[in-house]
This record gives sequence, C-alpha cells and structure tokens, in this order.
Amino acid sequence: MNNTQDDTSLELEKLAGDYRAIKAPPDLASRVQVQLDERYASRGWWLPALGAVATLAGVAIFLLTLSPPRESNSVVAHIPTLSTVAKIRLQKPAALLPSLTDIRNVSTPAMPAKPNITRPTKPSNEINHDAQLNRKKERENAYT
Amino acid sequence: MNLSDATDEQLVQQIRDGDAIAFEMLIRRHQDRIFRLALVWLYDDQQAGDVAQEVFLRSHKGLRSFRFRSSVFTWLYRTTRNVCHEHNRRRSLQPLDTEPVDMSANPAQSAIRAETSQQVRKLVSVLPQRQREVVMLRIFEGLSVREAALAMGCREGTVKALLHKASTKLRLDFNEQGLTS
Repeated sequence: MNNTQDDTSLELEKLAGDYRAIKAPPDLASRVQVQLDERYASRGWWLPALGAVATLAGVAIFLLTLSPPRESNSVVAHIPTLSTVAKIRLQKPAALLPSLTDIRNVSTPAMPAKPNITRPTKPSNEINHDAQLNRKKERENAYT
Repeated sequence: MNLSDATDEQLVQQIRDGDAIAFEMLIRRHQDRIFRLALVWLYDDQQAGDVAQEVFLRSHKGLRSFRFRSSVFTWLYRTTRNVCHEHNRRRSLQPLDTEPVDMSANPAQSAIRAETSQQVRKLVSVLPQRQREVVMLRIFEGLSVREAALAMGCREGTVKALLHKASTKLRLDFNEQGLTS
C-alpha cells in the first residue's frame, strides 16, 4: 500500500517537474512588443493628419493678422463681432401699441337703422276677433 | 535601478512611466507560468502562445490602473483564466475537423510539451474546477498557500480544504503538512 502511494507521489513529482520544465516560446516578448507597436500605430493614424490641419490653420491665421487693415470708407460692409450681436436688444414699438384705456374706450359704430318690415296681413278670423274686441271696448266705454 | 532585481510592483511603476524594457522584463518573468497554465487549459501549443500574448497585451493597458491590492501574478493569472475561457468558448463554436497545426520551431520539444500537458490535464480533469485550480497552482506551479489563495480570490483555509478534497479524490499521498503550510 505504502509502496503504491510512494510510487504515485514520485510519479506526481516527476510530472510536476516535467510540467515546470515547459517554457513559453522565446519570442513571446518580442511578439507582444510588435503587437503593441501595431496597435499604437493603427490607433494614432489620424494624429499626423490632425497636426497638418492644425499647422495649416495656424499659418492661415498668422497670414490674416499680417495683412493690412481695411480702410474705414471701404465698400465692404462692416461685419459685427459676435459680442456686438449678442448685445443687440429689440426695442418695443411703444408708440404703436394702444394703451389699456384706449382699448376700454373703443367707440363702436352706431347700429344700423331697424328695417321697416310691414306686418303680414292677419287671417279673417283674427280680423273678426279684433272687430269683436273693438266693439266690446266701445260698449264698455259707452257705459263709463 | 537594476530591473532584474526590481519587484513586480516596481516594474509596474516603471511601465506606467513608459519604460518598455520594464514591460519586457515583466513578460519574461511570468511568461512561462502563463504559457503553462494556458497549455493545460487549452491543450494546444499554438493557442496557448496566443493566449499568453493576449494576456500581456491586456496587461500593458490594464496595469496602468492596477491598484496593488493583489500581486501582479494574481492579476495575470485571472486575466489568463478569462482569456482561456473566451478561447474555449470560441473554439466550441468552431468545427474540430482538423488537428491544430504545430507552428513551433522544434517539433520534438513540442511533442514532449504536449505529452506532459496532456498527462497533467488528464490527472486534473477528474476534479471540479476549483480543486483543479488549487492543484495546478499549489502542486504544479509551486505557489504557497497564501499565493494560491490570492490568485484564486479566496481564503487560505479554503485553499487547504480544496487541496485536501483533491488529494482524497486523486487518492494521492500528498505530504499535507508540507503542502498546506
């Protein structure tokens, strides 16, 4: 039993020794370095382009500042600066706006004249009825 | 400062300052362990090399934000484990109709490597994941209990318990006093 266990332990030790003898590929470090360089190169491709654009812009601004100033009576319209534009305020057209009292006292135009509409002729029954009423009134007046 | 005598933490500081030689030194210090672990996990020379390369590429970026809460090897070990899982997942999606191509310069050496890693793999394959990790780190990589615990992110007592279970399962007569100290 003990012999078997000893054998197993020895085998295990040997296996562990063989395992530890395994080495990584010798060029691993240089491969990693190459990969890193490639990554940085591919990531920073736009940097030179950005630098060129920035340089061009700088040169353009420099040339603009060096150019002679324009005459005051120049035909070209004066372009206001952004700060000037920001300060512009719209003024209220006070004269044009009516006051509240004006609004309250607005004179309305007179109503048009009432149309003279002739009464429609009453039917005969109503005429008789009116005549009867008249007669009744006359009789009452006669008694008074 | 002589870089070969520098600790891992000092090397990381140098790497942060943009020292490429310090990074190369760190790679050379840990490359064998990382490669061996990847070899047992993946059982493929070529892919183990790719994984080791990927681990160090990630470390170059990741070590910039390294907070020294664990050892550098612990960090590298966890990265290796993650990258190996990713590789295995990707590999399981691919059809395995061809044998992996042996790209190494020395085929005889590669054959010995393959045989050894196969034996180790066969030995630990009967164990659950955590016990396998303990056996790999403690017995095969020769890490101390503390180092293994740090690498696995558990307590030292857990490492000892897992090692005891693994030895029982493997029916091996580990000299437990020596192994668990």
